[in-house]
Amino acid sequence: MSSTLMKTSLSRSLVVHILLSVACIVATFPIFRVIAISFRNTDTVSASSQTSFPAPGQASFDDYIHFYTDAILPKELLTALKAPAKPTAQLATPKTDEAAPAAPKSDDPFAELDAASEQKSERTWYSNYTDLFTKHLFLQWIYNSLIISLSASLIGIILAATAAYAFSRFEFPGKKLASGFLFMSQMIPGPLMIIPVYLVIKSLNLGNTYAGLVVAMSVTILPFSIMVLKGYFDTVPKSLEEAARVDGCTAASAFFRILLPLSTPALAIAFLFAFTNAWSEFLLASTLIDNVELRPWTLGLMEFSGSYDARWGLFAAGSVVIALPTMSLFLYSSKYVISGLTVGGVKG
Amino acid sequence: MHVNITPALIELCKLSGILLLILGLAYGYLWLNYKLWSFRLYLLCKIMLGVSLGLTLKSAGSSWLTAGFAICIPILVGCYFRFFLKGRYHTASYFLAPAVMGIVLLFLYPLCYEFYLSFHDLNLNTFSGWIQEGKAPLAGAFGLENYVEVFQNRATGQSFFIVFLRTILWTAINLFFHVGLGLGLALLLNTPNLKGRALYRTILTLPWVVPQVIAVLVWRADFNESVGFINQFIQVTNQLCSFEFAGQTIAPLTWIGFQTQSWFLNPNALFAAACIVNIWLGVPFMMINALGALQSIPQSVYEAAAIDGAKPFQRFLHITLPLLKPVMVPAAMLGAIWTFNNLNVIFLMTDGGRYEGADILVTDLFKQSFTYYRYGFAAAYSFVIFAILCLFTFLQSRVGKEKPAAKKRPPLADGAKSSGVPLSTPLRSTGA
Amino acid sequence: MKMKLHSPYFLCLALSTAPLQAADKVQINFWEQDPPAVAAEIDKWITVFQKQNPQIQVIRQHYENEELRTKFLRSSVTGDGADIVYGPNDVAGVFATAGVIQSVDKLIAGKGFNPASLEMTKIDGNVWGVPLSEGSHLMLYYNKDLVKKAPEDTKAMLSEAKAFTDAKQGKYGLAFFQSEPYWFAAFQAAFGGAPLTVKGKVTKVTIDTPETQKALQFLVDLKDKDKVIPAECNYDCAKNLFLSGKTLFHINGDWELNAYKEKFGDKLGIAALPIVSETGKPLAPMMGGRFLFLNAGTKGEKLEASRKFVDFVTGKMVQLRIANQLNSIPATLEARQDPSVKANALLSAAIDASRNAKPMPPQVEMRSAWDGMRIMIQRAMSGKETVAVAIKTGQKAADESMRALQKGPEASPAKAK
Repeated sequence: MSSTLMKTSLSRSLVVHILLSVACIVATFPIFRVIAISFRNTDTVSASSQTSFPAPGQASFDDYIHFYTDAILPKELLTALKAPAKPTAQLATPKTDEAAPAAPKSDDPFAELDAASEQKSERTWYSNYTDLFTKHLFLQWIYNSLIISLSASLIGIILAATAAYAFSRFEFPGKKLASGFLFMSQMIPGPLMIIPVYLVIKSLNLGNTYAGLVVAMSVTILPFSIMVLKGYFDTVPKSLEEAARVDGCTAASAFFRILLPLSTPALAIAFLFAFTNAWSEFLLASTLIDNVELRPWTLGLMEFSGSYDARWGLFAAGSVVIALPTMSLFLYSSKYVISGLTVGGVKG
Repeated sequence: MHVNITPALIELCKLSGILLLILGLAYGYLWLNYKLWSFRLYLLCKIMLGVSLGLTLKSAGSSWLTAGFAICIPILVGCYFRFFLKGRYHTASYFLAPAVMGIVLLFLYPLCYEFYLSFHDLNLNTFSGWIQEGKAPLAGAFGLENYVEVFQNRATGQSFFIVFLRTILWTAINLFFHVGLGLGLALLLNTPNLKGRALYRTILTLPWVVPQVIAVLVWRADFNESVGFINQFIQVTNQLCSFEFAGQTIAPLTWIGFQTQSWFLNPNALFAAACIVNIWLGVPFMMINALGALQSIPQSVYEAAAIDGAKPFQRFLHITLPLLKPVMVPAAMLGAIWTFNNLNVIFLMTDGGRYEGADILVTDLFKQSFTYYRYGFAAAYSFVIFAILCLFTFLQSRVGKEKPAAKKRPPLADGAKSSGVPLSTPLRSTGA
Repeated sequence: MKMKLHSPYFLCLALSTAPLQAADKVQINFWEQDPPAVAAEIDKWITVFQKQNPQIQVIRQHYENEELRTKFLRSSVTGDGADIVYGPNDVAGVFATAGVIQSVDKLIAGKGFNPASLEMTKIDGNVWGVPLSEGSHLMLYYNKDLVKKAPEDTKAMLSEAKAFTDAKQGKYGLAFFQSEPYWFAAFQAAFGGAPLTVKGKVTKVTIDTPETQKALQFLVDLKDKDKVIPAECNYDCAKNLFLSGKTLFHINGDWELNAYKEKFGDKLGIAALPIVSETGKPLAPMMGGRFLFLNAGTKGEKLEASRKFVDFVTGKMVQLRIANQLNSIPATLEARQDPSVKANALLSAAIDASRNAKPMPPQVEMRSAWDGMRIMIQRAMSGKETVAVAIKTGQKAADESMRALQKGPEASPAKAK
């Protein structure tokens, strides 16, 4: 009997593949768009070179193919790959600049500065990417985000794990109330908290510092992490710790030595959630951070998306760079998570 | 290109120092309370401590709210120790203390703060007075004016109830497609002997990984009527699929509503566009959850059912669905709450509130209050939204309780537990 | 709880950061909201200024327009925030109402500013911002390859535009941010209307007027009758159409001048907005500018340092740079008379295009007017409401939001500090 169940006919698996491929196209389409924009130097989102489509009857099959592929392929990249850049143009520009500084009057205090900024570089297909790192503090922003979200999620998870342990293993007065509050805290509309949180952090004298942001973030990710971890701790049999306690282990060391090592998958997931949350957090950061050198990338990228001076090329290039670490972290851990998911049955 | 590494590291050292100190203080405080709780004058001392703390704060220029909060905390702690703890539960309190401190300071206090504000008239005129001297005038009689105003009709015709109904619709549509598509994709991915499953799964989770703001902005540009891709795509695809028959153009796709739109000017189209974007963003989360649950169902269960003569559809109905339920219901609830409160998508799709007709409660709150710096009104509006959500959750947990599936858990604890389940249930097996 | 947390923190602070603090330099925080090219220029001012005043350090921070407002509002009341904010004149209303900036009457005396620039931040008799430049007015951009001479009136413009328009090819005669009230204000003025009327201390939004109705009808006709503009076009779309040569005429602000100049070079044509043939009045855009606002809490040596900085940037040297490097209209009359400014063709064209412009009202009520008009334009352009109904809706919405803004104990918006 099992053979009939396992065997899938060719047509059926073809249908599955087609459906999945369609889903994949839909899922990745905007991502290709982002990548295409990131190579553009026009700073607009809409593709500028789209010509009108031939009328019905005149359109050839090639036209259709072109239409669909043009939308997602980074044209600048492709043309650059086809025709290598001309080195002559780059050599010519510095020469003209060398002549320029001699001309201005010496009493103008700006002359020196102007001369320094005069050197204009040619725009190439990868200019958006190089600009991020040379003209903006992009690397600093990523570093800030990394430090902030790593430490916030680490502190958050430690606090959450201890609290979840108490929730899972002990009865205490007001437990129901507290867990109800935890769940309710998920429903608080975000903008509500801005002003009071700002005032609290400010009165702790932590305004405009990494520390303030880390403290605020680690607390905001607490409720969700506590719930995730508590759910997991509930499934780990108590008997293991009880046996240890009989052997003279304290509650604390039972927690650290037995429960935590057993809960690595849950801790990993909670950490992953906390990290991605903190990594892309915007509201708190924009409230608490002033200094341009302390900004996380979320604030930094927003600089490129102003309502009247949006630089979509830079914005897209930045988001591609940003998405890479998140994506790789996610892919790495999803392998780990799924492997945890697939083992075993439904005994829980 | 330069990166300043040291300031961050110094700050982190500072931070850990602060945290350790706070932790030490908290534990000392706990220890002291455990020592003293049975002392006769304990409560009296606590009250005096609270009052003096509050008065100090008040004289330092805080509002009555902050002072009141400072008065209440020691007294409440005192009462808790005296009447509830009674010197027991040492371990639990030591484990809880750090988290509780953070939550009280950065969740409970802000909530109280906003609740207080929601009865006061805090706007541009009174803002600096409030921050510097802690004074704000009461809003109308009994301070209820803000709440009344939330429900008042607006000149634009977007009254609270219309927006509320739209929010319900928004949540329902999104949830339906999130769960439906997520489940569908998960089932497809779970096809036995599927080649390239890991690749498909990876690609399909991508929308979740792309930062939301970026994705929405790109979608928005594509929905533009004249230069956006969506309309061009629709036009070209319609052209591709249509054909001439007996002198008439037959366009099958237009019959099912597949036609060009001015997406931003037509409110219904705008709403639909926002839904499409949000569905695109939200499906992977449900898919991952469903996939995790599906993969934990052993093949042998199906085989046994197949031996009993169950048809594939029956197997799905009687095995897959019930086994998915404990994972999918909490995940769906959490998804519903997130969708209900999703500011980003609608806010960005309507170009910061420029295009009307697609606002949900949260974006309406943003538009109505923060653009006009009406902080008191914003607080009142937020609490209305908050109350609605709490009510829904409560009703849901009641309904869930009546069914046999969710047994014997009290509603609140059930709520708290349930959101932990979407991730933990599939994981159970490894821990056990 | 707070008190407890204070003391250990100070201990920590004292231990860790004491040696790191830069010694006896006066720091001024300077916030701006301009595009990067301008920011780079501002950095140069700061460098030169710091060279001349070694004891002062100016720290520049960039924010997005809306963020700058909320952020400054929030942080200035707790004693943080910029000492100097560099922004458009319409933030004056918000900041003055909230009492977070100080009046600059003393700073501007005898500097020779264009009187119109000073009007732009005058509320209740006080001037709240030091003008640096004028601008942000809308102009008519065109490509000299496609258009020989800028049209004088709308009749001429429309006939040319109609000939060019071909919706199937994605070509339109005219493109601008048509649903945004800032653009509509020019039309409104051409028909004799104004969004705001100020009588003494009473400010009223005036949308529901026959003039506005005519102007709105004109705008709707552009779409429905003349069919020279796309059915829907936002800022990005309009700019994109112009850059790709798919529109003949383009209405946009002077802030895009440098970007377009870079793209089109000598082919870029600039002109004042045409005269509306029906009324004989020109389309009159609003005129704003860039101003320096001083934090109400800035005192003592910081105020002294800020004053020095203000003097520096309103001095002739920087004013000329504003004209020649940024191509903005300088705020002092002295700089405008300079031969180098007169020789700047692009700037002269921009100054010429601003001849019909009207100063933008700084009152905080302007926000209600914008929002009301935005709703009005939306409804009328989408065909959801007729023009006659739309202006009523807009008026109602504006009145409603104005009530929300004006609530509070003080009836008059500006607070004397």
